Amino acid sequence: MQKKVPSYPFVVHQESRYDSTLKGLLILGGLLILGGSYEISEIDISLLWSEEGAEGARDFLLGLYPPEYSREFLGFVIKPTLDTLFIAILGTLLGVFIAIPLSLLATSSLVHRGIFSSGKADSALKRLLRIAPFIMARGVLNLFRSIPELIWALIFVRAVGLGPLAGVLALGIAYAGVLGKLYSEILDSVDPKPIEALHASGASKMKVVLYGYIPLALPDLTAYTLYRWECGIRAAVVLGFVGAGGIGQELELSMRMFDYREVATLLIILCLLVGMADIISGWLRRKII
Amino acid sequence: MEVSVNNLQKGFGGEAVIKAVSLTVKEGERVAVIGPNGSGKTTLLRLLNLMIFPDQGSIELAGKKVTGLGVREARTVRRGIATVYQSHNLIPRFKVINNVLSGKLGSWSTSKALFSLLIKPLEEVGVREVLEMTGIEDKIYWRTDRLSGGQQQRVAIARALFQDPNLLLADEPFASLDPRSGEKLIEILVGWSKQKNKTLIVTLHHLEFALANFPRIIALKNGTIFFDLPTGQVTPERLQQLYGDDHQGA
Repeated sequence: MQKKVPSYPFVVHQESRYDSTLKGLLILGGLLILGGSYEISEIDISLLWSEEGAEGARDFLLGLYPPEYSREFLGFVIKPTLDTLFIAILGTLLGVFIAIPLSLLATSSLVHRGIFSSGKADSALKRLLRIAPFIMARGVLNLFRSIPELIWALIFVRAVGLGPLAGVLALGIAYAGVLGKLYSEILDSVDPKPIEALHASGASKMKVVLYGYIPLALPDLTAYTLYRWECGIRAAVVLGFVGAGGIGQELELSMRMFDYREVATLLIILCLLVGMADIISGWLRRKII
Repeated sequence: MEVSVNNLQKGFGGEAVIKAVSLTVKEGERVAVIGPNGSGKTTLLRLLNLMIFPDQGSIELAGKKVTGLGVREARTVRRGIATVYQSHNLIPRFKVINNVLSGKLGSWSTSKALFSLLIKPLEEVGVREVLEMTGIEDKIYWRTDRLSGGQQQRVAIARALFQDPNLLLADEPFASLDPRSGEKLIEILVGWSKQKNKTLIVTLHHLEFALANFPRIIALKNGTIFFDLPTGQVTPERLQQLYGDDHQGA
């Protein structure tokens, strides 16, 4: 079955001219946006090398040394450090648990594309009913994702008060949005041939998910979840700044007290936490892939 | 399972791939479907295992009309049909036993499927039996992607047999194997069909395999039946006409 490919040199020529005009317009537009945003946001680059700017930075950097290592302070930061770690772990876990069902509903090859829907000539209403959960799941994921975790934290601090619980909830909701979208994209991109084989043997959709989609996607699902957990540790620190507990809250306090030596210690702890998360997730990835 | 197809038509994107195909395959019969690339062999098999549905015409399996079934009914019919593919289509990271067990997913409950996957594989005896038939019983607890292509195809055939179907379809199952491995595997399929008196329909690239192992040959060309003959009546001239200049295989 050959397909005829018509060739019209005239059109090609026109297209290329159109392309270069478009490119020029895009570059011009980009420059305008760049210049415009510089103007409108009133960024003053000269502050970087102004007298006050330099002085502030010098004070801060010199103040960091030596880090605070008194036994009293180190003993005191154990609890906030563990809090941050647990906010990250529980927040990511909560995100995973919310993301799994939503991502399955939001996976188009499970709902309205591909072999599960082929051949059905349904009425428009029936089709709409079939796609409705898909659209709703996508909508919820978008909502969760488009509001940053910091805003979620502010909301939950109002709702459940200061402390780690607000951090866990904020992280869980925001990460459910991110993970749910990633999961559905990963599930959509698995090799369709083993899926068809399972479907052809009469397995239900649920069992095709369990014996097909999930094992085929497992390495990617794990890798992205662990990566999110690493991000979660950093995010949990930031959430502390708005009162969601952990070393973020301590960091904010020390900053406000101009106690930069404590800030140094807390930053070192943060680096150690992230490094440790890196090692653990690397090990888990190797185990699973 | 008797297969009866009447005036079947199927197109994709406005292009007809199967045009007015009618045929009947009796219970326990073994048929090879041959034809040049793009003649509609794969589409015909996918219509038979209800992966796609015809634009026109009807399919009857075991005397029951299966065109226009709902999702659940279609699933029940599919349980009785096993399919073997050119690429084995297994889950690479599964142990062999779990891939074979997945053939029975249609008749298992979800909790049973979960238990078998996460806690302990069930029905090991039955799995060993089919793996013995395909000659790869010693690899039952191997990770599937550690096996060679030929070995994985043996696992895929074991999965199809484990499903205990009434109709076994195979779509160019040996195209990516060397002829000797292909020969052995075709003997397994034919042997199973003879022993259990079950219907076997295989599309084959290799004419030699088709002529040597199947009593009946259906040739497709451009989506229509070019000939449908007992193997003895398939002459080199007919094959020449079927493939034109593109003559291949035997």
